[in-house]
Amino acid sequence: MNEIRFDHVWKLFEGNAVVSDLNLEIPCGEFLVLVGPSGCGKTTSLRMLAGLERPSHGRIWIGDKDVTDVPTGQRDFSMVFQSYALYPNMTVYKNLAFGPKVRKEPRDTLRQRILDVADLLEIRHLLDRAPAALSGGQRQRVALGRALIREPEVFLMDEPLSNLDAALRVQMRAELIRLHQRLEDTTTVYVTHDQVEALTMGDRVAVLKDGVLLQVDSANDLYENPGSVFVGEFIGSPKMNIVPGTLHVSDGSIVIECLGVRTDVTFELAGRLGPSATNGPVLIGIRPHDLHLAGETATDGPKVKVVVDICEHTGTEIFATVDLDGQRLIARLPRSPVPLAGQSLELTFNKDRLHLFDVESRLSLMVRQPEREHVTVTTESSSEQPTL
Amino acid sequence: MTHNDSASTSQVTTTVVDEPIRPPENRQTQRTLVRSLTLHTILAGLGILFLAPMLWLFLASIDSHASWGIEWPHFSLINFRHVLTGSLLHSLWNSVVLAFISTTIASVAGVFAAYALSRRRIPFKGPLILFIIFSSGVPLAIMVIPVYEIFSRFGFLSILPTAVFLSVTSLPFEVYLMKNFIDAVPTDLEEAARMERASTLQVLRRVVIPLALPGIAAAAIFGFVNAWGSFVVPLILISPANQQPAPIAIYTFLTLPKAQFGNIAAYSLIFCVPVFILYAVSSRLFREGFVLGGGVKG
Repeated sequence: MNEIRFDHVWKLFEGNAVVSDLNLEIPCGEFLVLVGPSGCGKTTSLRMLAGLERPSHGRIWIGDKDVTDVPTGQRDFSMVFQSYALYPNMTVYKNLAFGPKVRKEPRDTLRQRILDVADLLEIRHLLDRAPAALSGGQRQRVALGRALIREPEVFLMDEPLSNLDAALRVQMRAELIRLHQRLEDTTTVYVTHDQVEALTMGDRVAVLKDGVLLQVDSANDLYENPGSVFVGEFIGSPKMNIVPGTLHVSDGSIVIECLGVRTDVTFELAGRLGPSATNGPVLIGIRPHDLHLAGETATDGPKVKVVVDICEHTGTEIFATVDLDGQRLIARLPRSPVPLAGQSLELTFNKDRLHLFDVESRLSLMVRQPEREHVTVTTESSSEQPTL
Repeated sequence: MTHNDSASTSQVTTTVVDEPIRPPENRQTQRTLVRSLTLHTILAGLGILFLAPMLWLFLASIDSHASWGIEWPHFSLINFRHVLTGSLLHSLWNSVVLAFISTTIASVAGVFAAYALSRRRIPFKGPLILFIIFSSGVPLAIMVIPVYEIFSRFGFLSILPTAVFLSVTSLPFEVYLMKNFIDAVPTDLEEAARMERASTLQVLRRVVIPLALPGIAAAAIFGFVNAWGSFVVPLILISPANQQPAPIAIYTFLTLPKAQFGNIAAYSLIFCVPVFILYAVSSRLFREGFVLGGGVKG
């Protein structure tokens, strides 16, 4: 199997670009997640890859073969639909047997193949049931089984977990990852609007907005090096605080002014500032995890006084919406003492971990940071990483 | 009213703890009763008006001395024996042929047309569908004379071309009905089938038709009844006497010098049987209804 390549792909609906100039390479065996808010073109991109929509411009390649005009059935892809798309007039067994039958695959081994897939997904006892008699999770498995039976080279999944309840979603997420690991050479392209799902499942994550591919990176890189304000805010929960600030660059010293305080930039952050970071106003991104009570860590940054507005308990910690002279920020607070609404607190932020963005283009002013030590990352994103 | 009820109930529960909770008395019961009685009397009267002809039909058919009035029959099956012979029996068979051919053509053509209208991108699709709805309302009487001219010129004045014409007259409504049912079949199912390399015909046969079956059956029944009960069209378009269907035969009864009420009733009852059977069979199909449940979600 060869890699999949979107080559300047556009999709226009009645003159509106739903997907604009998409260039994306997906190497063989990768689990790629397309993520973005609704209407960002992620499903359309997947459907173009599946052959259910034809690109308005551009080509889609698999290896050195142009598949843009290859009919959907000839592409050897399997797709799991958001709605599961099980044939309600057939039993589970017949649903699984449908594809092999229409492709006229040998019948003598079909039964065994179906039983094998059913065992893998633990749905053997459901084979005689109608889809209507199954629970959501069971239907999901059948849909997956129908895709698996083809032994495809590419798995396409269009928000397959969005109709499941939260607990089942976490469980199926883990099962999908396990399945992908087992099918080594199978490429998976997975569409979701849920950034947690994207971060936990994808080898790489492609963030789309308004039909434009903003960034493709590993989950870690997306979180550490958001290329734009949008990616910074979209990836990570709760979302990144974006505050206006000013950058003062003079010989030998770089000073940042934000949240009503002036602070000199640490050596580490200064090393990451790109050439376009010059004197003047900037947007500064501070992750809620990096905005915490003063005195909590040894490497305290400048202190700011805030008033607590609303508290959200997540179990391990509390994320509070706080007010700083009319500016709303989200900060991470310890569980005890419980912060009260209206209470004044002194917070501080981690100066090393600021993200600077251009005011006009809203793009990052930082150069890409090489892989950080893993320790920082696990503490940063611990609340989003469910135990699988 | 409901609001007051709940208010008073909650009051009882909070203040008087010992007494059991009772629903408040309904003062309107009596007035409702009178109204309901009046309504039902009127409805029953109307019902009798509608039932009387059918009662006559049944009683006259088994009465050897049947007349135009409803009376206690001189029980006999002689009427049935009379009408199930010779040309009358043949007319019934003609009706079966006419309705069967017409239904088959209309249903097959209808499914394809409805599928295309439901799923494919067709230029001027909106106006086309409007035209189809409009043409389903065009009275037959307008068309039958020009069609007679055409048929007579081409020597088509026989049962087979008439069956085709009847199928065409029921087609617009059938297409419209089936289109609505096919619209309700989720496109995801079709796309899933297409991704499995199923051809359009396979998609139709294995996915769309089974799921839209109640609608297709309803349309087919409509087509069958339309052709079966058709009177004016065969009267004008079928010239050979031995190809005339049953409705024409009933009409010829009335033109006889002495009206044979018993025979008319018996023949009419037999004529109704296929339609009754069809509705009985199809009602099971409709009760099962759509099997779309569980296929897709969201």
